[in-house]
Amino acid sequence: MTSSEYSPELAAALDRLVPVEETLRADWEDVVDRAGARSRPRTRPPSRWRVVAIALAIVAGAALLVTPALGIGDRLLALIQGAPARPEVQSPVWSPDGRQIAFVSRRDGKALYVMNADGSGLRIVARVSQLAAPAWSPDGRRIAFQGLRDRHSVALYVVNADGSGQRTLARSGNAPAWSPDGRSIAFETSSKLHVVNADGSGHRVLTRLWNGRKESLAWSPDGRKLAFLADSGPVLDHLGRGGCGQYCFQLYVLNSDGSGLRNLTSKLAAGRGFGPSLASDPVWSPDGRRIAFVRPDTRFGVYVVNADGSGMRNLTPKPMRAAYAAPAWSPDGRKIAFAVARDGNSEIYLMDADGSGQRNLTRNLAYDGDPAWSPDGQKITFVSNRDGRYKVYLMNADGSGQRSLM
Amino acid sequence: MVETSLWPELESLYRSEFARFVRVARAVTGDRDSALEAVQEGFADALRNSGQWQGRGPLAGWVWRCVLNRARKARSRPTAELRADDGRNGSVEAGDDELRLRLAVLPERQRLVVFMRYYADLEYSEIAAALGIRVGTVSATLHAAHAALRAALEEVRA
Repeated sequence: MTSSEYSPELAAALDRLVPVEETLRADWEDVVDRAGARSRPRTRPPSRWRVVAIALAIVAGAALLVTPALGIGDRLLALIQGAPARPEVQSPVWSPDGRQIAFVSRRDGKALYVMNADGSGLRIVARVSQLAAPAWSPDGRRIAFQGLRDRHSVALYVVNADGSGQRTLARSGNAPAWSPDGRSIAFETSSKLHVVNADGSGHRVLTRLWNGRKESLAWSPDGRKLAFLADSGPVLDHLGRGGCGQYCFQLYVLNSDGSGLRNLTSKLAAGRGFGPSLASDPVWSPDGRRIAFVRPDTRFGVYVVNADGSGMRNLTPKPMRAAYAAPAWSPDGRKIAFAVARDGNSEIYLMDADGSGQRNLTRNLAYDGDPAWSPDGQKITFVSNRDGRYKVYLMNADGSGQRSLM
Repeated sequence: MVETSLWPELESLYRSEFARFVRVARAVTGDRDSALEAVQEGFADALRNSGQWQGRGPLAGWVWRCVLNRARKARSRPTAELRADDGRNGSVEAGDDELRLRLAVLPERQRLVVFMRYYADLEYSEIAAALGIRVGTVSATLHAAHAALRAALEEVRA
């Protein structure tokens, strides 16, 4: 194809993208009218989208003022729900051997903390402005995370679990994801996916993408695919964005060699147009065949989709108007824990992976969120402010034995 | 004042090539209605400003430029989107999604050259006139676009 000037295959594929229209009527008189009507004032009603965009801008602007330290999605959600946006303790993650738990907290200036799984040995291992997205290496010895390097750029760091040896993996990038073999780390920048060796060498661009926001990068457990969230960005045209817009995140999967990019949420975008995100908090099932995520737009819920885009299902069709977050597969892949604000504040729920048997594991007037399974599937950590301060809690997988680890 | 000497030529171009203009405009704007609007306004621009053409290059190329300018402006407004799973038209195959994404990340000039070459069957000279570039640049741009889209096509074939 390189030497030819016309590719029949490309022609056939393009034909499917924009089919020939059979029913168009040309209207030359209209053209002539328009050409002569230049001096006549054009009175076009303000676009409906412009009205919506202005309203959103006002809400977003107000939200920015209210909670300056948080992501835009959190701010909007907080404003809508009237709840504390983001707990001061976030993202507890178990080390792969189940012996330690890392989390981000603002309790003593924003920092990355590590403690033993019984709550002992709490220590700060890294302190970087806007620290987020901690990820354990598969061997449990190191933690990669992102943080603000200077006013303009988010950088990637890696630190030993004992707090020693912190260094910069990449001067620009976010959402570090360890490959399952522990040899490399994938990360995102605004228009690319990258891979770098775990020691910081061998940086390469995995694939170029459109310019925009990227979040939540994760390798499939077999290391063959990567899932991530991306919005349409300010410059991407319609062909890639499937009707969604800036700050509207959709779920994408590609092969770990950079090929086979696919939008798994394009069907959700169909017919909807501009709006809030279609996907958040994606997580691979332990067998690598499916991805669970939550949908933050009007059709809220915990969704599951196969890695090839088929089999999209809302596991929580009711209640419709409740904000879901943080789905977490049990290590055996048979259950999914998640957080949902069905009764006015976020609670941890558990269900079978087909959506049946939903029941809540927590029930109180406080925030309970961010569930995370211990690698042996016996316990679940979560974040709660039931006694006033946000802390990491531990419970058995059946909801019994809830206690603070801090 | 509207210059009238080119009206017959423009009208004939409009009537014979209308569907092609709409198709390319739709590829750019993403939906049918704004594509139709872009074609009408683009031809109206051509009609109004026909004095500016002055016989440089093919007339069709210059009209294409008018229509593409309208289509590109329309695209910068949020509009309904072109989608693979738009059930009303055509079939969808695995890999189309990938092709759509690969098209989206092409530089705009490459994308426009692909659209004009494949959706309107334009000659290189007409594409060159429409985009204000040399014929050789059209060829090189199309070549680069082909290379960039090859991965997506292999996906389609697989």
